[in-house]
Amino acid sequence: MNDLVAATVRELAQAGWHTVQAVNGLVPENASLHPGWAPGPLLKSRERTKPPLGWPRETDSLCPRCVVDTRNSIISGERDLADLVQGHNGEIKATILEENGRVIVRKTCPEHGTFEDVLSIDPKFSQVIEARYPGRDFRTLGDERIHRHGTSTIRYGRGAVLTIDLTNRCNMMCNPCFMDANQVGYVHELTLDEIKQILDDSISFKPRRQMSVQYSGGEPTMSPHFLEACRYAKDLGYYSVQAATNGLRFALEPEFAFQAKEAGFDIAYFQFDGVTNDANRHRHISNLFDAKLMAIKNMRAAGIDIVPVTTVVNTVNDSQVGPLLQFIIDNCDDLGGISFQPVSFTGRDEGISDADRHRQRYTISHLAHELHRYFDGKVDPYRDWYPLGAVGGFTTVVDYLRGAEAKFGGFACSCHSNCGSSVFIVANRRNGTWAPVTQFFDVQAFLDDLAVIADSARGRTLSIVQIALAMLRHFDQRKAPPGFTLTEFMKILNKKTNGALMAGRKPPPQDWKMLWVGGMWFQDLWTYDFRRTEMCVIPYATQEGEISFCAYNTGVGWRQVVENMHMVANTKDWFQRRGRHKIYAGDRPMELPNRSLPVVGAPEVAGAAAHACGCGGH
Amino acid sequence: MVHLEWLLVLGYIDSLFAERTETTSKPLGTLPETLSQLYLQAMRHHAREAAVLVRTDEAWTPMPDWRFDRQVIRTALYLQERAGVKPGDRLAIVAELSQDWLIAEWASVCLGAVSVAVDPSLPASRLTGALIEAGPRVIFASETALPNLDNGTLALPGVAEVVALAPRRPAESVRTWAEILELGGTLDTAERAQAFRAHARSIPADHPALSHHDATVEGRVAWRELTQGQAIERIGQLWKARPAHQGDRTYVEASTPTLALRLALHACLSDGYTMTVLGAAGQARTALAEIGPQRIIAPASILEETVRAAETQPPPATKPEGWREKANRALKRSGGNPLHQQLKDALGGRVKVIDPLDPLDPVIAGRLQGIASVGPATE
Repeated sequence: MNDLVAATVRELAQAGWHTVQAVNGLVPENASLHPGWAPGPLLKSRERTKPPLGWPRETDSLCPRCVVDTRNSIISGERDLADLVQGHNGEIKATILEENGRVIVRKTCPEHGTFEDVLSIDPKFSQVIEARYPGRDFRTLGDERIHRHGTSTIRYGRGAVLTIDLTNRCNMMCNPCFMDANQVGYVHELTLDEIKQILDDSISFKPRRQMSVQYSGGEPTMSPHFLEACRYAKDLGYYSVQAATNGLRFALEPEFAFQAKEAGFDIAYFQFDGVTNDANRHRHISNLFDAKLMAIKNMRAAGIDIVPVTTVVNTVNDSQVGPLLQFIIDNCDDLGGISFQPVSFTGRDEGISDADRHRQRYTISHLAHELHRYFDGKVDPYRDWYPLGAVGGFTTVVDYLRGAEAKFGGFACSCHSNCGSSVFIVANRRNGTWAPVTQFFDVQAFLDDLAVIADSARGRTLSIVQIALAMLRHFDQRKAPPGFTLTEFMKILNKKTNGALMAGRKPPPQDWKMLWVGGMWFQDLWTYDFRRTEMCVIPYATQEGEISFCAYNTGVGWRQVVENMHMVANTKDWFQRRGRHKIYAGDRPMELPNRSLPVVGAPEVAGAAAHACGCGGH
Repeated sequence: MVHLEWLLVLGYIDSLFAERTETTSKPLGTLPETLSQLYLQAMRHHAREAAVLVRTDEAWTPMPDWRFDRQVIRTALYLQERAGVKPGDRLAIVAELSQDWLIAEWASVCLGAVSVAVDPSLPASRLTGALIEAGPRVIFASETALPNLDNGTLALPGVAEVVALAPRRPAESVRTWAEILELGGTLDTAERAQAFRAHARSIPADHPALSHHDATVEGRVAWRELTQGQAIERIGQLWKARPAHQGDRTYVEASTPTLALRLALHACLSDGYTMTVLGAAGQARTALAEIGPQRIIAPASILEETVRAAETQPPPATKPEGWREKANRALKRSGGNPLHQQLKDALGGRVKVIDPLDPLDPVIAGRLQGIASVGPATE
């Protein structure tokens, strides 16, 4: 489609949109739908609440010293768990303010003094992100048995990713490690029955959530129940099954990748710190990058999607951010995006010195500016970045279209705007051309249009027409990268929707692919903000209910409490009874298989896609 | 445009626009040199919903290949690391045919051990005699066989462990199947699993693999044994005689797995297409009606009953779509499970009968014209 046609389509869509809205404005809004999965009618945009944003502002936080004492006394049995649930242990007020061109958090404990840390190195960037936050999701209802963690209780939202730690055992010895795997002296590992119970519980209240299940750990693939857990989650109806994995198992055992795919495993949330072995040195395996490449190859052969995850530590691997994104673009055939996670000083890093912490602190704003610098301004911090919660605009419309009979609510990532932000880019897999979507598609205006559509709550057909018009009127082909036309855009969307736009026809292989570049910043004791905790959308599901990701891994330290309550053995006994597992560490190389297929004497199957269940739709 | 709403489920969570890949696959259909290599090949290249289908109280439950393989690996790792099983050791399976039976057999074969099948219905004295002669290192015993083994405490020379293929342990010294899988599960790491596969690949073709204690020979213990290579040769003949196709289902029923039946069974499991349906005694009619298999592997005595039942039952008025749904719906219905036309079709020429020692009724045999007995190929 040439530019002229595209511009004509755009103008026609503009006219169509304004015509429809002229009529729409004359007719009163319809009442919101009340689907069975929701605790109430779907929220109109004006009914969404927001946490206090902007600065200066006061919030509830924790004293990094008091809270550790509290946690230790509960674990040792000196204090009762009820103290944690009913009390305000270690809680102090914190002020978020702008100072010297940065946004900082400052708090003072009467006993331990003042603590300060950086939240953003660019107040304008943070302001833009907060301004784009669409508001909270539902308050939860009927979840008293699941959400019961005192001031750390999750109160809003339907969640996006349900994280379940299958085991605290790991086959690596990293630094950082927010769960201190292999070093705590005990084994906490869920039984299959416990996993099933946790998954059942998580859909027992409203809003009934359509989440991704993410198995984590430790290294989740070390759990003997990993495959069965994938299958059970799929059987229950969870949309996708992920695992936060270092990928070593997939590198070492190609069959496992195929079996995991067969069992229902969809996405590897894949630890990936740099594009050279040297850049992965802090993981203490000298050929880790080679192992990662092998894991990618095996997982892709099995049909597993991969989203690399990089923990970014300032002065350690921050220089890898740009090369990593370039690596993703260069390998967009195999990779769907990348999640950068600015370091959170928890687990074995909780005892970090102030000097090291200040030196290593990295924020989303660091990430935005580093990508801007590395790509010579191609990624604009103020135009391209959106809070993760911006997706809520899509979700509301989806919920309307699915109707009252839907069993699950759509995905809704309504976390606090300080929790994470992302950029979408399109990349050409043949010639490497790429551009942020926001360069040629006005995302904010599109989200505003979606809010109008959802608020007016018209019939299904009219809503669909409005969505189409909104999409067309905000796409500007002249600003798109060379070769990326409206047709290509629709092809990408068609591919994402598994052919829905082409009446079920499988789309042919495309040159263009959409990639997600995200920044997820988990809290630690210095940056802790209870307003974020209560809106958590990636809860940890445990034997003690669902706990905010940050409250579990840091905060009052629910992880240590839960794991101590439910540990299955101390490490020594476990090894004696069950056998040791291999741990790759000590800055040595790991031995990698040099065969692509394990069957001796059998010819290679054409293409890599063997082993799948070809049951023809059963 | 009807499905346009799905546009909006752009996978922020769904790995955020990671592409969905649909894998398609075909079994290799090639015969490697050994039985254990064949197993590895089948687990790597297959195109079926499940390797094995069994009926529980509630429904037909599939055991997909990934689960089957993982249980084989875990059993093997347990046997290797905890029970000290080494290549050449003999492992006795004194049990009725079940999926646990199959897993134990494949684990033995891939370890390079010799899998010895013994009739669980043998009287205690004959069973003990057979086991003494077999000299197993590990005995897998079913619930019915355990009493004849003094609840697993029978002192036999060289036996390191008795495993109860039963939910409860009859004695403290006996491991249950669940325990084996649990302990083997923790041993199941990438390194050990790959070492297991490498070991399985390296077993030579002249290594003994399958052994059978023939209880039908009166007055003496008769043993028949096949090497890995001989077993492969016979499986190749079976594949050639009756090539497998996508969606094939084979119904297997036998109280005691004979050598011939074991080969036919392994031929099905390893062809990568066939789903093996394990039947239970006395439920053949029901199961056949529900599953509608393309093949039946059973002693002739069982088949005779089935054929007679087929003649007395009218076909159902309608033929529902989807065999699994149909099967499970039929299971839920109270009362009889009517045989349908598919069974008669099957009996019209696509059935293979094994176990030539079990003579067919001449009337039935006449009706089963065109049946190729696999017996001679395995003796």
